[in-house]
Amino acid sequence: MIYSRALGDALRHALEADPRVVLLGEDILDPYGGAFKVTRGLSTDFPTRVRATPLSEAAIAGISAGLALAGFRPIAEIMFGDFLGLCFDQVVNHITKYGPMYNGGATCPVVIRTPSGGGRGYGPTHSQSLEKHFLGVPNLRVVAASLWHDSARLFEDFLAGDAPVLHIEHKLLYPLEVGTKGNGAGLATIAEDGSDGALPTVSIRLVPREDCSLTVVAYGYQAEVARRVLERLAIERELFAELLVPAQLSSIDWGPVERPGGRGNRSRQATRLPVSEP
Amino acid sequence: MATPVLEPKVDERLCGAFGEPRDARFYRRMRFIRRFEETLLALFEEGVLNGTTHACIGQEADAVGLMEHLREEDHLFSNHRCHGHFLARTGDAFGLLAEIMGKPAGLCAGIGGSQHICAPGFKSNGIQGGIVPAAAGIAMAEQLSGSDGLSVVFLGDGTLGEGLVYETLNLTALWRLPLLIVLEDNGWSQSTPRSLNLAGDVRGRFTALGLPVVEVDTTDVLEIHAAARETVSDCRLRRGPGVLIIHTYRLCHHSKNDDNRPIAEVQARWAHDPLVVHGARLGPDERAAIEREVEEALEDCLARVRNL
Repeated sequence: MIYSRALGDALRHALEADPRVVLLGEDILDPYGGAFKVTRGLSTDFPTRVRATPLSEAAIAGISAGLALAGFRPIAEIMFGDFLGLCFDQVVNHITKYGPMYNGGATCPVVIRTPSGGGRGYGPTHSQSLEKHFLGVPNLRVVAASLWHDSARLFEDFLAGDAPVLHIEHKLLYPLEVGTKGNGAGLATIAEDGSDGALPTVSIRLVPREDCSLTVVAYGYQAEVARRVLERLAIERELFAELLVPAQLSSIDWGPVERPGGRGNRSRQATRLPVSEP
Repeated sequence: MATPVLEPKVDERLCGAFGEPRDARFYRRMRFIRRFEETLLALFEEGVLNGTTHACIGQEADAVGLMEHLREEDHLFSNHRCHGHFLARTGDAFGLLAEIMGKPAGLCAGIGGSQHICAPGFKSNGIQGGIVPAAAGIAMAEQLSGSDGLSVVFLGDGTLGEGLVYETLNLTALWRLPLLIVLEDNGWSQSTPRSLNLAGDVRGRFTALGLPVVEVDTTDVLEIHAAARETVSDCRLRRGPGVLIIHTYRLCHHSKNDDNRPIAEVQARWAHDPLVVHGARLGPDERAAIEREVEEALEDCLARVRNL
């Protein structure tokens, strides 16, 4: 199954499982189903809870904030991650602020999901990875989709908690097959690691961890790029590395990187610079 | 008209005993808000408070007149100038004063302070236009859950400069959200007059989107009360949005001591002080008795908070 479909199924499951879930976004209604087709089919089956909005990204975030303050579980789609700039005030001064500044008197569990990254030729304002600007915002979970993290499980986790979430979906992931054990990672072993209560970090390697001479940390689509590179390194140079793929970027769980047996002190982190992919 | 039910912790000397006649009750509540704000300003002078505060002196009638029509299930979102709205809504002087003085017994344990208040059916935030979609989202929640509740948001004329307001007005009209927008137009955005801030007219910003508008230019609490009744009942009847524009005036500085407005302009507006306008409907003895009770209650409240 390709990633966009897996994510759409996860959203469908969320709508079925919890009547408080509401989807908001631009052009998300059928038959169009969103710019990347993630929500296709959902507005037909949940017409009152899947709502198309005007081009009003700040209001999408702000109305989501109000829904969440009132006990609903909004999941907002921002059509391109580049448009997060229009939502920045709502994220920094409203959505993430209400809970702590009211001393827990309110919660604002908004989930914002957005396609990010380049590689599709969309140009300077539709190819950026702006999640870096949200790393470290207090009370915000920044989570990146990957081919090895189950979307349904991630969204169940988001909806079970009260923290606001920014879910980053690299747009090159949408047409790729999601990976499972023995599928999507060539000959590699796939294992999950993670500290208590944290989302799992996926470990991908061809040899046991203690035999790896390098640890590479990569998220999102870059994790798939790194996996292909590391596979070539193993075959062509006999250099074995462990690839660690975290889901949550902020706050990040360093446990799997620092654990004995790995090579965390020599790790390299991979992400794309925002201007590198016109 | 019977006194709306307030929580038992509320001091009757500040909000009025059950069944107190309307004119006396309105005067008492406006006096309460006025003296609360003046008390805060005195506490700054004393050096007990730090940070800032935005007093609503001169605008007390807006909140007092409107609040008579709100119900327990309604939600109110306010802005930086929120004390009057909060006190008219809840009467909880102790919780607010403790909050502003940074005490753990405050509404948000002293973390939020003057502009960031949370209580049942009430919230405020210090970023102006940003609260409008939050209030619309609460209205949407009421619509989705089929409740009769109304979401109310207070904004000022200065906030009409922020684009998010217009995004939200469009969606509110489009989705017919049960949102009441109360625009307190006091003519000044901090230190900048409206003539330097706003093109066109204020009402047209709402009517262009098909939002029904009730507009008054007054500081008389009875006129505001009547206008608010019209717009609130209309919102409830149609289960949709409404706008109440109140042209008013801030008699005090923007925050603590920042007032560069023409002295003659401000002085002329003191003749329209809502306490003077409405106070004239009460006899001098009745007025004095109310003022004395409010004074004693606030002194008691302040003493309790100081001892925390």
